[in-house]
Amino acid sequence: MDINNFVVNNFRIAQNNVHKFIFSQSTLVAYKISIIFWALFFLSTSVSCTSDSKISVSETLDNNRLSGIRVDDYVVRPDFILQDTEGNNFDFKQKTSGKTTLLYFGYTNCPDICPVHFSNIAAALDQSPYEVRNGVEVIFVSVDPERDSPEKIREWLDFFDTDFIGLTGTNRDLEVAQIAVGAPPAFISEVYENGYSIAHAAWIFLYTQDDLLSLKYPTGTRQSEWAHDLEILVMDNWITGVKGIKNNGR
Amino acid sequence: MDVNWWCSARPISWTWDPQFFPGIWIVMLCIIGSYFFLCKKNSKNYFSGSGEKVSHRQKLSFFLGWLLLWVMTDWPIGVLGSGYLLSAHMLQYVTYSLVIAPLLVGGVSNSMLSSYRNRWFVFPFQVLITRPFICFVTFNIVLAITHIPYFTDILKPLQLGQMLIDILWISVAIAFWAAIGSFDDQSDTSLARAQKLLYIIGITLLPTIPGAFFVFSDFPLYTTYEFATRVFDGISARDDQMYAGLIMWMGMTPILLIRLAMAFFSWSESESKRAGNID
Repeated sequence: MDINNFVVNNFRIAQNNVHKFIFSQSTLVAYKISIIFWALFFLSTSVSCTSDSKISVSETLDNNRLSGIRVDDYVVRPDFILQDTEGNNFDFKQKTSGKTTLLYFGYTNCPDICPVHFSNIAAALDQSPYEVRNGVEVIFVSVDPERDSPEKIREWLDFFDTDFIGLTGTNRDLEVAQIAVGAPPAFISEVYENGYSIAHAAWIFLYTQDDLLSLKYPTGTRQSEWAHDLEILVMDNWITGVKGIKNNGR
Repeated sequence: MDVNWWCSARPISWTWDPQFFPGIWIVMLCIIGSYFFLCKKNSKNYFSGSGEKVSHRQKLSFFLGWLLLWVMTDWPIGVLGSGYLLSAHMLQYVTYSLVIAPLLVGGVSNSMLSSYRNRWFVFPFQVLITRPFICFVTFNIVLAITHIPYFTDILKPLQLGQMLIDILWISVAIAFWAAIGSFDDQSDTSLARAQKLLYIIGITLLPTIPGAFFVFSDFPLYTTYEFATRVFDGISARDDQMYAGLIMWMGMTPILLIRLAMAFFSWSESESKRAGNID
């Protein structure tokens, strides 16, 4: 047999077989079902990705949807003084006035909530535009002065972001600060053989640029939600009283 | 006493203290017990003249597959994958699909299962293995569902949910590898070989889809892993997700491409032989 004819014939047979296979009923059904499931996958992951992506401020203002929970009675930015990680006095009201501020009471030995909160905020800011990163003050107040020295707080915060501010003080000063913010004072909840755990407010308190406590963020706030909300709150110079904030039903 | 019988995502900090999951031990002992039972039964058949002998190589293959299955399902990898690290979850998936399943399939001879053909507990596998395109669809469905964030976040905290994921993964992977083998049993036509190539291409490309989402997403996709306490300092939830995507790409694709090349060269060789016969 002529080799050219052999190649051409075999190619035709193969082509025909592949064509039959690709367009056979069972293959088409298989592909259709696969497409449905992959569409489902795309749809669900796209929902996550949409919330991750940058949303224009005006668009979101129309929707007025923020993940934080609205504080009904506006509380003004409180006035308390604690020590920062350099050992200097830190006047909370004076130093943070006019800035979007996240305030949290926790402790560095916390096994779960505190590191997850800070890890998520740091990751969200890392993905945010420069203006947002620069426009947010993140403040961690340690409610465990016995174990959390200023150096230890600094080391713990640096693990997340070197720009985060760490504060501590005497038990009395810390209690005053918590009451001023509206958080229940922390207390030792369980004592173990080699340590203890502390019960503390798990909320992150958010003060807007108008110096009002506007939103509270619970445990379980996702990185994408932080990025979304902080962008709106910082970039639009959010004024609580004027815009009004609606929560998303949580 | 709070005894967990299967790994699941739990809202507690990660610890390197070993954990015991009785459900996993029972399932693993049942698997190896069943295998030795089948081997013994098969050797009786072999000496009575029916059936084929199970070679030491096959036994070793099954034992290694079984051992790896246990390692990947139990503490620590099983616990890490169920609630702490997406990369561990992906390592489990890739190992189940590409290493354990072929080892298990390679350890079982046809004669061992012949007396169970068409029985209710073998029938679903039989359908998948003998109809590769149903297997293709099932592989897709399982891969998609077990990686849709909504379902994963619901299933992972449940012990039954995690068990379901583990069983689905290994079952579909076994069916997938057995189905590739079943192409060889079919007639040696160009159609069968083309089907085999397209089947492997299809299955090779699919895992790159969730892999791409993991690598390029700005934020973690799964709440289970986003809120898990960190196991290793310096590896954030997003880093972990990116590693998971890379494991999916780098682990899955090359091995399947090798299998694809093997299928292609075998086809090419048989075509050459045919050409030689015609001449």
